[in-house]
Amino acid sequence: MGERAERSERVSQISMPPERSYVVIARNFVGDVAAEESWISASRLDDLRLAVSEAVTNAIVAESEHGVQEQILIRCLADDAQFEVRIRDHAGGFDAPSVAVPVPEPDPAREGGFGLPLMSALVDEASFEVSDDGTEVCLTLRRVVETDASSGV
Amino acid sequence: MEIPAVPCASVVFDIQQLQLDGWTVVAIVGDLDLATAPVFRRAIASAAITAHSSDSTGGLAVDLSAVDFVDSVGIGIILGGLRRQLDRDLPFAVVAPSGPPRSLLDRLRLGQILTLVDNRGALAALQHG
Repeated sequence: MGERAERSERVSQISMPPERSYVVIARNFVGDVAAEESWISASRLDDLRLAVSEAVTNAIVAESEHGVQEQILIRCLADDAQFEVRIRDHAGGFDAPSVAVPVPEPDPAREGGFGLPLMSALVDEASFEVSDDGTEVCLTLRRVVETDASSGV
Repeated sequence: MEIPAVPCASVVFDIQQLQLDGWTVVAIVGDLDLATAPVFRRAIASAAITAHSSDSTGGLAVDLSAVDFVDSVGIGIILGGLRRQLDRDLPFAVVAPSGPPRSLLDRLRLGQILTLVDNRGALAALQHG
C-alpha cells in the first residue's frame, strides 16, 4: 500500500457508454465532485471540466476508431493534497507523450490536435498510462497551501 | 465505426443563422463539444454558402455570446470556418465576450489568426472600418 492509502481519500466514479452525448455528463459529474473541494477555485473548475471533456472525447473517438463499445470509467480521487481524475478507455492504447505537449503555434491550417496540449496546460499534471487494453488518463490538480513565507507574512 | 449520438433532453442547444450589418452570423446557444459538433459543422458550412452567395461582403461570424462551454472539437470547427473564408479572401470573425470560450481562445492564442470581438455590435465597425 502506498502513501495514498494512508490519506483520507474520497472516491467517486461513473462509467458511461462511449457515446457523444455523454461528454457533457462526464464533465458535469467531475465538476460537481470537484466543487465539493473548497480549495478548488471556480476558474480551476472550468479548466478541469475542459480537460475532462478533452480526455473523454479522445476516449470516445479512440474506441470508435478501434471498433470498441466498452464502458469508459471515470474516477475522481480526492484528498487534502490533491484532486485526481482518471479516465480509462479500452481502445488499445496509443503512443502517449512522456512530457507535457506544448500548445501549438496558431495556424489557420491546423484544425485539430489541441486535446493533449490543452490537458497539459489546464491541470497541474496530465499523465497517460497505456496498456494493451487501453489508456488511462490521469488529470491532477494540486492544492497549494499558503505558508507564512509564500503569503508574504 | 460511427459514434452513436444519443439525445439528452436536459441539454439545451440551438443554432440560428442571421444577417447583420452585412455579416452572416451563426449564433449558438449551449455547449460546443463532440455531441453538438455535427450540427455546428453543418451550420457553419451552410452559413458559408449563404455568405458567399449573398450580396453582402461575404463576411461570416460565429457568435459565442450564449455559449458557456467550448472544447477543442468546437475550436476545430471554428478554425474550419476561418479556413473556408481565407480560401476566398473573405472576412471571418468570432464574437466572444469574456467567459470560458474567450478564455480558451486566448489560451490557444487564436487572436493571432482570428478576429475576436466582444459583441455583435462590433461587427459593423469591422465591416466598414
